[in-house]
Amino acid sequence: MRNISLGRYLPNNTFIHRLDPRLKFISLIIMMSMVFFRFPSVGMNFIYYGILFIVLLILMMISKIRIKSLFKQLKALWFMMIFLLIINLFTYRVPEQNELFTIGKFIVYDAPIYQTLYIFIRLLLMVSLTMILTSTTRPLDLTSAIEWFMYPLKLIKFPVHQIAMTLSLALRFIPLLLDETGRIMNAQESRGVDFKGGKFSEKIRAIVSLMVPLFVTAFTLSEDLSFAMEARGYDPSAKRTRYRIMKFRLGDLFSFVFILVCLAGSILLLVFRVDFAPFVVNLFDLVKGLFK
Amino acid sequence: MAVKFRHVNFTYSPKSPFEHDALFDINLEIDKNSFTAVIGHTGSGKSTLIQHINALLLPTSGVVNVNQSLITPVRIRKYRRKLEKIIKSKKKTNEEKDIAKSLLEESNKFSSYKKKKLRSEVGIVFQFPEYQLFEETVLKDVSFGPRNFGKSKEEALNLAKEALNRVGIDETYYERSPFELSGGEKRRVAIAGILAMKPNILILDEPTAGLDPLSSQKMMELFFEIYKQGITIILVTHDMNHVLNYATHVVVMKDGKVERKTTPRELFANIKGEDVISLPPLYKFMHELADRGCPLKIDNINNEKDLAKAIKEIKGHA
Repeated sequence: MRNISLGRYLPNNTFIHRLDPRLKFISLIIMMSMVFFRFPSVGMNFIYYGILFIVLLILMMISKIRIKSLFKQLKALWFMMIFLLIINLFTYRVPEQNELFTIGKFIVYDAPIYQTLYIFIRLLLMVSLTMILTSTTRPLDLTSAIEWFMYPLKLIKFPVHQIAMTLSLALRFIPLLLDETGRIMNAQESRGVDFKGGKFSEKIRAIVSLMVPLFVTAFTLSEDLSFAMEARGYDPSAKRTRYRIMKFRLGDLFSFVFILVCLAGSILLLVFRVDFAPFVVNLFDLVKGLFK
Repeated sequence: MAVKFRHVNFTYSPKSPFEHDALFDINLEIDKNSFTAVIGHTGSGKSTLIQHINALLLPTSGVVNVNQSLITPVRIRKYRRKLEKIIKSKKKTNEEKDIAKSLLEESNKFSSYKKKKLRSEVGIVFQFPEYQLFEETVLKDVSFGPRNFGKSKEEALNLAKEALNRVGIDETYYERSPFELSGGEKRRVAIAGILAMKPNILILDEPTAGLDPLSSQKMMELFFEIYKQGITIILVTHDMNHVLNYATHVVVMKDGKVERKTTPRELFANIKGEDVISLPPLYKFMHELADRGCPLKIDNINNEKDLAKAIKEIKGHA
């Protein structure tokens, strides 16, 4: 449990860390929407995803996030992907699809495999994006940003501050609950629980022995926290001031322009149905020819 | 020897953003049938150290010998090969090679630990153990451990009843939900859950944290009773009175290292309470008297009665 780094803030002083949280949040939304762009040709889709992935790797390197830790978080996705591939093989059909091979009487087409790959790559990109955001932004700054974006909703009496506070507490509880899970797992393991092996019934029992105390602890912690907040005079409807004032600097502006250029470029590629695949194939052949 | 640490180092979350070193070259022996207190500041590595004894944590390097079975960083054969490589390596220093040689010797002498067996032999009571309760009834929760270690339902229930009796929980509680009990009762039930496994080494990680003084004293008396029955006790605590009154040995930890291992009286008599240890009130008072010129022989005084006697004698001479 201690090795889980997804959703945890990594204190550092990189360029990405110093960016305005509002900019990082809006960039996340823009880049997430870019992940869902789909081009008519399969080759162009993979080139596009490849470029996005390279951009994200560069961002991760700038933020000093270990790329290895990203792949560690993806371990759990493999099972899901295999399951999805099996489902897609049986259910996903499009008019234009090529036969790849046959297993007995069952024909395997390329489209379901591409579809599964698209989903996997999109998930990978989204996990990387979220990781960059949460690793470089303090949870409190993130909720301040969300609150800032929801500010217009205050006009229709939407409880913006309460929602932001709930979000910030939820984020604050993630590492706490992860630590608590580790602690309970240790305690139950010393009572002979095997979380890794055992029969199905034993696994269920092991999960129950973890979940019940975890819920009890979570409720106790949240109750204690609410009492502590009330004891310090917390009033959800009161007008609040901020300790940290968010400032939009020149670096933020350049970053925002860069994101907008990327978005505009992607939209243009999509609108004009640009296909780099033949160009890349030709380039590849040319390079191959040079080395012969 | 119940437990022996040999050149143990430990790093949390290695090769991750949260990597940090917690133990540095620990060499420590804990005697069989002893009551050893482990003291030190928060973050000094006490809890990390004790979690190695039942293999909840595996050393990053070095070995832990518990009841003649060896806990190694990786499977024992692989570890032996790794040590042999270090010994043959030209890049390693002589000191590193000597350590590897002694560890290889140790690993050749003993066999590797069996997880289930080790965990039934070494019981750990964690801080706030009441948070590990989950069953519908007290009896079921206490019998959970023995059941996991292969005892029949009947045997497990008998062991549970015996353990509950030991911690002073009578049969009117057996069918009650553990969540209905008071804080102190919950803790006693949780401790019974460990005692029911009949461990021969009992590790207590701040077992009295959050208890009122009377309950705390009762709890410590219970542990002392268990110790007198021949069980090795390892107690992690910040309460120096507990160390003074119950422990036979004390291990002082600082910054992930074992600073010293001695007896409580020797420790408190020869230290003035700065840095790692806050002295028990008796010793604080005696040191204060000695500092103001009172000719006290602190080494000969074990309790308040001895102190009163010594003061009376000094007064008589004056």
